[in-house]
Amino acid sequence: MTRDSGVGEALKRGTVIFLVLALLTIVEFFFGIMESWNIGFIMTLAVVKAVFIMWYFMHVGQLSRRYEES
Amino acid sequence: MTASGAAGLSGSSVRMSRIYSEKQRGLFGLWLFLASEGFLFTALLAARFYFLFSSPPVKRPDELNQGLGLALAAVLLVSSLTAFRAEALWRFGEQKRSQIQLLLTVLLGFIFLVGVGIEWAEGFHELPIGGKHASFASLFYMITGFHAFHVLTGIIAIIFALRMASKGQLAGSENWAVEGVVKYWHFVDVVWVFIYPALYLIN
Repeated sequence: MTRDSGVGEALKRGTVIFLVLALLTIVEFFFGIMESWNIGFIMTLAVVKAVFIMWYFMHVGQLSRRYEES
Repeated sequence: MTASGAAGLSGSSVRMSRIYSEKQRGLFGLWLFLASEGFLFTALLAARFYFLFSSPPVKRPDELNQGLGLALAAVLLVSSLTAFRAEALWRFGEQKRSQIQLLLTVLLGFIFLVGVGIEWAEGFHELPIGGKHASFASLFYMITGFHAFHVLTGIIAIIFALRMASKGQLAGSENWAVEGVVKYWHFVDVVWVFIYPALYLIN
């Protein structure tokens, strides 16, 4: 993989994750203002969003791999 | 290979190993710090849920500006994307483009703080701490204020990293300053991911 394609791939992945998070936030907002949905559902959406950020943006999944490398 | 060449290579690899483990130690320390901060915010949010399920329940006041809450969530989400792009570009050696993304992150952070300021200014009129929603208001100002302080410290950290980068002090793959500040920024976003529904949505 060339450096340019590597950068492009990384930025594209970030944009896709951002769009997923934006969609989840909009869904969360509408269910929140409808007030007919329970707390569990809305907080589950929050957990899903947090996992996405931690996994793809904070690279939590790479932690163990890094320590194995060292 | 000459003896001196072998010795040089050996010395270099030993030095790289030491630097790499320093980076690892730094990142490990950062993760520990983020975990401790996570516990702190968990305690604050637990208070919100305790009040919500107490009798009588502390409901979300209608005076809360829903539009502004969503706008704040959107600003922080976009700033997470710019921070991610900054880190990715830095990793691939595109330092100038990375610095632009970090500057955008700082700008969005300031916009977020202005939004919180507007929220507080509105809140002091419509949601006073000593008013009928005293319990909710106390929690609201405590949690959003504490989070805004973290956003401010994140902005300061990014500005420091930018200053170091402009002086060429972050050169080399062993430096984790950009990775560190970006991780901290994402943590601030993760915290808001929970604060937003807990304060603005659930009732």
